[in-house]
Amino acid sequence: METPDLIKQLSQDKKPVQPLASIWMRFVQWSLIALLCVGTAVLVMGVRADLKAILFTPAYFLQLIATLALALLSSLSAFTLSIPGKKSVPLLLTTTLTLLGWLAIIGHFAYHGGDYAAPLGYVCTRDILLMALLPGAVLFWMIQQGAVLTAAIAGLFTILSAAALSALGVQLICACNKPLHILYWHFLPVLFFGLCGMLIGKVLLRWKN
Amino acid sequence: MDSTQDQALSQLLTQGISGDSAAYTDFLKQISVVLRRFLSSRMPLDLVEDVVQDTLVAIHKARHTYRSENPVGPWAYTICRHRMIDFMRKYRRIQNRETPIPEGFEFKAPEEALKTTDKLDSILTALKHLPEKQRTVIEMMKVQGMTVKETSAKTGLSESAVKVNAFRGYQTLRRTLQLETDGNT
Repeated sequence: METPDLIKQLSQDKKPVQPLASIWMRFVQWSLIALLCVGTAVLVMGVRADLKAILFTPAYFLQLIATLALALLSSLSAFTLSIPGKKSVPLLLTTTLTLLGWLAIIGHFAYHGGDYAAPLGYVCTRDILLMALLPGAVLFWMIQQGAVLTAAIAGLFTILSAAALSALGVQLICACNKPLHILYWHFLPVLFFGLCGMLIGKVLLRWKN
Repeated sequence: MDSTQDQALSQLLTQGISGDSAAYTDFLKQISVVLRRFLSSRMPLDLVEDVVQDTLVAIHKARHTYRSENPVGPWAYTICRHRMIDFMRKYRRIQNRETPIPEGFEFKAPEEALKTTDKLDSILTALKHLPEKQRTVIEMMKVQGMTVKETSAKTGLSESAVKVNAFRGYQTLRRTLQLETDGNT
């Protein structure tokens, strides 16, 4: 087929197209839905009894902030990746640094506290997974509405975002403060789920062109 | 692309998105010129038109992601670059898969060998539906066993045109046969 014929054929599609909402609008929409999902799950499962006492201790508070920042920055990265031509590198770098920041906070408190105990926490990992399911599915659907050109990376940040947000929720439930418990049963599962997101993204976010 | 041209294209695309078919045709015509220029310095010239067409389809499918407050250039170039990489990857894979025929190799009635499979009829039918140039090139190279040089001499096409026609023909054949297989299952 010659190019002028193709142009003619494409122009025959006269239906007006509804432009996708802006990245920020979609980001806010998803954040509200996801916070509502995770918030409800936390309330149903019950927040830890000593939350008031521990909330503003540096170790706990910094981890909460890092996890929340990771969740929000990851979803913003995923939304940016769903629009061709949007500059995403600085955002992706910031998100990666936030992930490393969370790891550094855990490492700092493990080293300085001298506390290397790591109680088992399968339940924490399971809860992270369960709480991430709905926000993750919604985010995948929203990202699919765009035109993702780098499916694996978009998948990584999509799942990382949902998993980090549910890890935030689990941190409000889990009564264990041991840094290595957080590392093995909260941080590493979030990272692992994110890497699985690369495979899921390759399948679900591949732009059918 | 300068900012004046970008603004003009942005306006046409915005009108096109809201259903103005004439504006959309103008946009596609103008952007295809821009894309052709962009691709010419980045890939073999024989293949540029294929990628331009690929990109036009991609742009059409992604037009809902364009917002009028943003420039068209980065949006269109990103899609184009992505299509180019994808296309070249596919093209090289096909090129690498082809084995050069050793000199002096005798073809022993390929029709006879093929008759044993059910695919012969499908292949011959699909071959008949190819555009003339592509059919001739494929028949000469794959049925008569001619080299690219010989095919080029016989058809009067340049060697790269022979390769491009063969590549396009293979793609169409593959698609047609795949559709038939999918339809049968």
